[in-house]
Amino acid sequence: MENAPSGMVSRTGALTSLRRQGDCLLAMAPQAAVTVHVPSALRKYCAGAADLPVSAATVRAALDELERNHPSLYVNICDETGSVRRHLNVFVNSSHVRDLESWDTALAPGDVVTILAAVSGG
Amino acid sequence: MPERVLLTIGTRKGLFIAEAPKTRGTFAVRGPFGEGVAVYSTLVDTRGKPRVYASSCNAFFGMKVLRSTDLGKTFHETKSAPAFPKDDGRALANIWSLEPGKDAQDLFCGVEPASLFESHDGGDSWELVPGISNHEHARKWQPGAGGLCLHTILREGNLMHLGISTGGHYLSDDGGKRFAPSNKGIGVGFAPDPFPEFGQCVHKIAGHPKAPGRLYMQNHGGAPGRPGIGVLRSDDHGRTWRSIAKGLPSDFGFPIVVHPHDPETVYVLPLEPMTRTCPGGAPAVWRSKNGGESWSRLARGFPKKGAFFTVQRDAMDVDDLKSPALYFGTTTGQLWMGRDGGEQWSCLFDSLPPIHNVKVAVV
Repeated sequence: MENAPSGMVSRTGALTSLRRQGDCLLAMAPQAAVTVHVPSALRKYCAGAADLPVSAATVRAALDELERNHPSLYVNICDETGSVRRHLNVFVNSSHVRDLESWDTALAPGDVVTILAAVSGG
Repeated sequence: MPERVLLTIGTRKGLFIAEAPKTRGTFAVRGPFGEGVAVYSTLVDTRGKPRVYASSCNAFFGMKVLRSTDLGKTFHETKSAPAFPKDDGRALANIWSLEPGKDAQDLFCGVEPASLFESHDGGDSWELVPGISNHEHARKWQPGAGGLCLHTILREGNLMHLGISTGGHYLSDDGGKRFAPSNKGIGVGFAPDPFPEFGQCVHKIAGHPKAPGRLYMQNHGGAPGRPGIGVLRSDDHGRTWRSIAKGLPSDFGFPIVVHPHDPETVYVLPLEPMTRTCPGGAPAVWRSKNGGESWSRLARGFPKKGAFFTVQRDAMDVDDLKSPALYFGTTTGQLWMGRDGGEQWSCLFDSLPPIHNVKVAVV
């Protein structure tokens, strides 16, 4: 499960490891100008914006930028351990990060990172 | 504005507010606030200008604290909710209790995983209370079916009582800086040692401001071979406990409530231990007028059969009018009121979402 997105299965230790790897990647990879698409329920935490411009090399780096620049929004997406909340899904363009490289997924200029709440029952 | 009876009703689908004149003739309900999100704790804080608080336990986006300064007509999120320090390794899973602190802006908040937070600004910022949250036992407590929750916060001068399921009763005698387990006489039915130092599944603790030292506890009873461990009393500030369950149809239940004008009068709602529903499908509140020495059944107005609901730990309360009324909410979405101290029951609302929490205040 080392590469499983913590949004699916929370693994603090694994995530810490991923963050370290992500930091390395971040140091090596160029920043990409990407867009984070915010679900409607969370737009009140970022002045109503549906899309936020972010410069980041990886998905994790994009979330880190949200933490720095939009902390009220960030706490809705990630818990105190840094894990993406269990019932949220993160896509890069049309692909779920679990099918890519999880939080280490590299971002290219123009990519759209979409945060979506999972479907719920009654 | 004349005084009114205000009910906060925390449900699986949000918070409802019900309001009536002091005659309690007709209650009008409004809501849901924080719609679609479970509310496990509410507080009507009547110190100064009344404020209403509610936890909003969002499985998708995390925990929030809602606050109203207009008696529950509108609610807004406080600036922040309790959160563990980043390097702690724990993440907030639920908010189970909100209680007033010492000063007018002070609040306490009990959460899951079992920990305590404190606010000094009416809920806008929160600090972890390390004496219990980082207690040497904290990593040994086990979650019950409802989760590992700190659900009861009782202040008695410089004493502070905490109820943790399953952790037991913890007592501080220095205002909440240091805590020690205080479970002498509190039994368990789910471990080899019937009276461990800690690890009890305490369901709720209640006290009375006019009776310092007297506490009542609804513990996790219903244990085969260990009768009577479910309903307890302490007369020494929670240092020792003894059973007062004799005469009840079951010592299993969740809430326990004390009469506002008489510390000897206490109410429980016994449930059948295997199903957590009303014994025989016939709901009844049981009342003792002598501190638990004997009990009488209060069922006038309830169905006589076919009612299999559960009443959760914080879903029963009593108002403080001259002739007080009790209120409880059910997992089947009914809100019941028992006039004259529970003598006569009527259903105020019968189709709310499943109810987790009911609090009442005269404001």
